[in-house]
Amino acid sequence: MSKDDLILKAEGLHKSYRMGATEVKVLKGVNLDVKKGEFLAIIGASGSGKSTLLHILGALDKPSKGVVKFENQDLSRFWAGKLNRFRNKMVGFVFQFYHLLDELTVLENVFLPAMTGRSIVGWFACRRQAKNRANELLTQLGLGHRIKHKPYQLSGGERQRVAIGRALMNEPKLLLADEPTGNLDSATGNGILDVLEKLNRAGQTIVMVTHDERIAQRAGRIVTLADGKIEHNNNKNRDLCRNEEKLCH
Amino acid sequence: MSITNEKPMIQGNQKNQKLVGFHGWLFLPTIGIVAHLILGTIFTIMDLISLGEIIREDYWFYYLPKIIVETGILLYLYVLALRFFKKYQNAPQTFIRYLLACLLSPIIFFTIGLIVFGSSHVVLTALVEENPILQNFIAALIWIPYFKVSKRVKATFTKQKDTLPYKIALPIRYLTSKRISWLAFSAVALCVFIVVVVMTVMAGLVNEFKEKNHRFAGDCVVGTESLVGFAYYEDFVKLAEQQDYIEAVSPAIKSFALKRRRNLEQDDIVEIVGIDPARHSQVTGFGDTLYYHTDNVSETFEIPYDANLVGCVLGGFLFLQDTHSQLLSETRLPRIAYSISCFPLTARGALAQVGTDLVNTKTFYYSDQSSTGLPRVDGSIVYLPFEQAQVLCGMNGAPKRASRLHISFKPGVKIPAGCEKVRSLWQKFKQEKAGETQAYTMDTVTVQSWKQYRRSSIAPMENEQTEMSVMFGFVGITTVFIVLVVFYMIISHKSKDIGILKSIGVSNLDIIELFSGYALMVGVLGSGIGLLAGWIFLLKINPIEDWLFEHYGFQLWDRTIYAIGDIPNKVEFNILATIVISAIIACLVGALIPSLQAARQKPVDTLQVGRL
Repeated sequence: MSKDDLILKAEGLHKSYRMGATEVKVLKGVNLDVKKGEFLAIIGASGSGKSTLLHILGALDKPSKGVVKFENQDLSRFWAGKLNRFRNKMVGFVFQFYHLLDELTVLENVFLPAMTGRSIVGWFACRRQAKNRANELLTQLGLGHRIKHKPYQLSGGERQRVAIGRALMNEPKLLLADEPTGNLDSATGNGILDVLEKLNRAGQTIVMVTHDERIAQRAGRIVTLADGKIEHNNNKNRDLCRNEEKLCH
Repeated sequence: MSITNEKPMIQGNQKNQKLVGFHGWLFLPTIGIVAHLILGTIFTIMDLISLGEIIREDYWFYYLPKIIVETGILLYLYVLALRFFKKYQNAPQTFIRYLLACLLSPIIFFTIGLIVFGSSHVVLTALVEENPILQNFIAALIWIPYFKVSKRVKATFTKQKDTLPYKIALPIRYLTSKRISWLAFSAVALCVFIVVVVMTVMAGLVNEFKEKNHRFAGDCVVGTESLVGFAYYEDFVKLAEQQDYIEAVSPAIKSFALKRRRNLEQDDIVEIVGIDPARHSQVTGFGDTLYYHTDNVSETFEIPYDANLVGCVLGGFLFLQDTHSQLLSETRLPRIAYSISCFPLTARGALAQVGTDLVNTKTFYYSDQSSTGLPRVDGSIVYLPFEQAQVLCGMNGAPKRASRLHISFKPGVKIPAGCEKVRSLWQKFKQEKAGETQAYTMDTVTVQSWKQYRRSSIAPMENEQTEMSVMFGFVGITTVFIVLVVFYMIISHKSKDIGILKSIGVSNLDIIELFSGYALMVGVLGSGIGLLAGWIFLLKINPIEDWLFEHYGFQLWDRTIYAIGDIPNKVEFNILATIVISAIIACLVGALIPSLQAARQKPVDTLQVGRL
């Protein structure tokens, strides 16, 4: 695998928290590579550190030890402004509880990342393009008729689709999804997974965290996080190819 | 490409291009908006210019809300015009709302008008003219259905409205959607209202008091506290009057005496002041303080019913005490005789008439009263003709003596500079007179500005004002604290939003700016409302006090103790500006700490349900 094929590389990630007098070690040396265009699922039991790992990968949190490289650039060396730009332009987050701003409409929530990445003057200069892009995304996500609604007027599945739209607004290279179906019924959850699959097929790199093995099966590759370490690395595509090869022979 | 299994919504693209634009029937509301905009602006500006007068009118409670509502409708018309001519989707809805506002407002004010003014033919005609209900009803009847169903309207107004940047949009939404915001807003408005009212009244009282002292003393006073007075004053008066910066000089005699009203056994100690009324009025505001002789000051000590008698002017309070607060007759001067007894002193301070009669006594007749508005002055001073007072005090010997010289400067001369010049002049004069026989009497003479001369009276008032300012400084600190608590609560509620914003790349500075913008809005709106309410209250403070006194006997200041007429209510721009700026700064300071705290929050701490 060439170095350029990797979008994200985590080396020896450690993370620990203090809980009173005791120190809780969550990650104990995680090594992980994510290739461009890959759909990776990180699976693990509740409390195994999956969300912590995802937040570190998306620069929402810092590791106690170890390095995260995004396109060969060490995130720990980014200064605050560059880190903000990284979160704004390079990654998109989809959270389990959607995390939409209640005061804004669906459309405003979606183009919010385009707004925050610009000055007031810059926003007025490009607001039409941003709105068109947000409208287009919402239409593709089947929410074209909901743009003026407030998040509380939507169902869970719709809210998650809005969250996906927001995450995709700035066309990030990496989409990080933290239990994106965790708060949804299975039918709605499947709809969300369909969306993620389609995005991946269109070339979007996705890292998804879930505790549900069936959901993880929808990803191209599954890694299992247990006791703070990657225990099992299962390349579904490789297995699939091998099976296909056997069948061909 | 659709990324869901649902079909993308087809957005209306089948509009007939021929229907787009302000043609057909739509041309009429277009003209209407422009005409209303021009005429409405002109009439509203005229109303706002005369707002001060309107508030002073008896029916201000009808006209003031009417102007406020009409101004609000005009502002909404501006919003409508913007949306209409930019062809925004929400323009038809805005137009309908505008028509409804134009219909409801006259109905409401017509009804209130009937209640307030009655239903006479004249009133009805005026109200119909002022409130065009029928005209607006017909407009609503035609245009509301048109804007609801017209294909042209639907085809023309298709543009989505502009979205403000989140740093402006979010604070506005927080302000309008959170009840707690209204708490912060009300706290600021209330504090501004209280501070505006109290500071204006206090500053008015202090300024009025200072002005009264200024008018009592003139610009500068050359004098001595010694009861002996000082000699050669006439020479100095001549010298001073030759100076190009001096307008006028008035010599005065000051001493203490016993006053006895004829037929009464009681003697009162009073301060006697001998003046030439015409001259004294040129230097001070003496003439304006008189009751009978405001227009003929030179005749102040003349007794109209007997030209041989000598008059005296009593301080307003003193006279009220003497007459047991009986009201004066505006036309007839009461005949009241007073014996004034004084110990005449030599230039050395000894009793002047030892061995003969120690006391000089003379009878004066009440000729007027002087109300300076200074309780200590009005309660103790009896003005006498200058020469008579000089004789009574033994200052009429050669050389003649006086107690002080009141000086007024020419317009444009600054008082400190003028006083400094008089000081130099006096020093020079004193040196010239050093060899004279009574030169020693000039040793105790000082040259003071009116402020220095009246320091003992003004200082307590200024101290009171300082105390009030400190107290209201505490009110300001309380406001900061209230705003801080409110913002702390708001930001605590909004920690999820902060996490979301940070997860999409918003910086700490942006978070501070966001909440500072919010604080700014609370500060500007709160202080604006507080200011307006304070201003209206101040304009009406005297009628309100009169009403309270009439119905409940309540007076804010007992006029028998405080020498004030009306409660001062002159709003000073610098005080208002200081209060508003302070309130806005208070809001920003109050919001700064929670904003900093919010900015420091890690997104993971606010977004995660559980840490692991």
